[in-house]
Amino acid sequence: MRLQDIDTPRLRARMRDGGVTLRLSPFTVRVRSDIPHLADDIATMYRDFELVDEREFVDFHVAVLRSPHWLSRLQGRAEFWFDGQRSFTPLPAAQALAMLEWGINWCIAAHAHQYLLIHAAVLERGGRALLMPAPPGSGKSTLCAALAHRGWRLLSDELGLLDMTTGLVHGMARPINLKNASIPLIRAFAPEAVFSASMPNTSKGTVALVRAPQASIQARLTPARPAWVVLPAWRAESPAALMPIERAQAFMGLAEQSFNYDVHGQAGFQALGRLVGSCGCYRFEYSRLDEALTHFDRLAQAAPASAPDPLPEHAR
Amino acid sequence: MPVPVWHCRQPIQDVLLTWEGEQHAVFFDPVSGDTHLIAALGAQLAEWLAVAPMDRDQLLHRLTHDVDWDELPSPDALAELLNSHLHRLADIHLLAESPATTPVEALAEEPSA
Amino acid sequence: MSAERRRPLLVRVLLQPAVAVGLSLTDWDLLLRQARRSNLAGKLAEQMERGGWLDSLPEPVRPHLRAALLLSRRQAQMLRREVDLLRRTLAELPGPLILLKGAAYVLGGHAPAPGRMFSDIDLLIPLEQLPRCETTLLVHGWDFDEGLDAYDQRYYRDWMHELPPLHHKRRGTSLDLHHALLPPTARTPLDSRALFDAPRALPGFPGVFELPPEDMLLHSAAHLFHEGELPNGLRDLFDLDALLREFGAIEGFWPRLTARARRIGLTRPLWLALRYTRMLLDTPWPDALLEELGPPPGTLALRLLDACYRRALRPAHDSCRLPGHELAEAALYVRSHWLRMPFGLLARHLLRKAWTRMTATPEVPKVDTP
Repeated sequence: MRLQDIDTPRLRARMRDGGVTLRLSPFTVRVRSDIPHLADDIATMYRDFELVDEREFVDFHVAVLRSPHWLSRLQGRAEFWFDGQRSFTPLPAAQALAMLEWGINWCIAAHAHQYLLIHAAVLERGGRALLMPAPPGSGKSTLCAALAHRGWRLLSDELGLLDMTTGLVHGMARPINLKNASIPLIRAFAPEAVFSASMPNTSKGTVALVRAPQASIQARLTPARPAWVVLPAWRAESPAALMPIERAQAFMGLAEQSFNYDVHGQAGFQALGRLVGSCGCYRFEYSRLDEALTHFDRLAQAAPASAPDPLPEHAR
Repeated sequence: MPVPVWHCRQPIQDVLLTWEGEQHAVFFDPVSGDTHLIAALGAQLAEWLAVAPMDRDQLLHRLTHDVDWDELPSPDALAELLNSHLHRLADIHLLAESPATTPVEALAEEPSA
Repeated sequence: MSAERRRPLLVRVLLQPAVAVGLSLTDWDLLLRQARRSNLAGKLAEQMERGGWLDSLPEPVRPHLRAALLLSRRQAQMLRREVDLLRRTLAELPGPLILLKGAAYVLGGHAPAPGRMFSDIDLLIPLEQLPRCETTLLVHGWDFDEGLDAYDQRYYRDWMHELPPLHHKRRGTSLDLHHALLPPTARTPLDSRALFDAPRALPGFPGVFELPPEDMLLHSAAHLFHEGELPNGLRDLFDLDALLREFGAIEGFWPRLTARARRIGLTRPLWLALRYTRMLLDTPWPDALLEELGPPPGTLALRLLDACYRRALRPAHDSCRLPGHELAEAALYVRSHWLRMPFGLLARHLLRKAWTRMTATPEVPKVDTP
């Protein structure tokens, strides 16, 4: 059974009472909430995801609940709960969906150490995966949203799960996080995309979520073999340019953007080493989306064995 | 008086990653769990020392003759370069000098924030 | 069997790890949540691994336990490094620098160490070295929490036995500096100087010490049965249980323990520690011990204490809450502060804490980032 098979009043009731359990492969997450509009948002964003029987093992029990604290409640705030404990500062209930997404990311980042977790956009084309590790503000989510609607399969917009044994990267095809100017930009770029309501005044500005394309959701159980590591940077007025970088630099970029590289010690070091060793490593500057996409198309069309030429001295 | 000799603190094949033609390498220090970005030259020193320990003069000799310099630095500059690399690599526990009575060891004892 | 009498799943498993092997997935779901909330996930994972059961547990369960193992082991590694850096930073102080609690268990290789998770380092130094220690640390990149106002600073410094927690700006480590076992304003007369009688060197860390076994155990008991807030109550109780078992095997330990308790003035916390470890965790110790620790609390007081501690020392998860839990915690909080502060100070302090609680918001947790 999928989430879309439950009607709205029943979904709201279930979420209020015990929660619904979603298969966010590879994790099983139970979500509870007493905020009716959050139930509606989840119904939209996770429409194609399977529901799990209530008796199954749950990896993360989460909830977004109205603040019990009298002052916070008066101010219309809600809180994210994990394992029965409040985890973050109360936020306006209007931001419930954003809170849920960030909260789930946090649960995974703090606990899912069976993977090497990388703060990166991950997309797949022709059986090969593109990893874009980047700090916030680099334009990676905008690029990711665009690529996901132009022939690339979305694995994740911010959470790449690297299996250190197989070297494959997994994704959950959860909603894409966009903020501020990216929102109208992607609306125009991909009119077919399904957006949540915009949530203003979050700590990141105005935030909206875009449902992953259905094909991506259906294929989300399939991991992909990393082929490219691209460090993106949006720069105003900049013509799109893809420049090879040293593997050591790509390595450090991935390690810096990893949530748990530190925890894995030598195994993490070797896993990232194998990853960059088998990938083409670049940095990418852009200001216009259409230009950007052309470069990625070219990248995808190039034959595999895509090791960059060693940088000549004068280019450093 | 014994001449101080430099050596690798551990086998490097699992903790040092280099790539042909690149200017940087990465090293994992199993003691602290830290990962470091190091210059290719430093990685080269470690690779020589992994085969056999050497003293400063021997290292200087190899630096002079076995590196593909675009422009060979002066002997003084080369000595400076060697010193600064050895110092850094000792700091991050890739290399060590024995016997441990040299200025480099004492430097490594300083508290660092 | 009433809820009170039935032990929580987490406790049953930790006392008899083999029980875990037959648990259903639903049980495991609950067990893991109880363990995480009580900060005992690492301990549970270590037991599963040590017993050789980890690989035969249900598949969805294993990643959670492995993750806990990874984290606690990484923390132990980082702890060693932090302590090493600290000892070099403070090398010019006469010392001794004495590690307390979790850091001492791990670096000293004691029974509570496997799987232990902790978020800060507790260090004990002689009172007269405190100012110099503080200055040295501030110079080397340590800093106090910005959110502390003058009142909080005074609370920590003048009334309690510690500086406000220090954080290293770049590395993110948390450090609690103590100069005494309990605050100088505490009611029970305490000989904290005695703590520095016989520190034991920690191999590999020149200048850093741990307490001898009797003092280490007494400190653990004092910490648990004097402290106000018990988020780690069950974990600390398990620490006590582990220490009692480890040290109980040492020749002549028990008489030394009781003598030391009388010498320092900690007979009451030890009495409580013995009582509750036996009651809740079946910890073995010679029955005759209690008689050597002075008169027990009066019957009424004891019933109240039992009610409080039985509730507060359960896993910190909703599934384990007994009715009256909040009251129990509140009562313990008042009791601990009663023990620490003269009455006038206490009222003012509690009033202020209550106000801060009403208006404060929970902190954002740290996520492990390199």
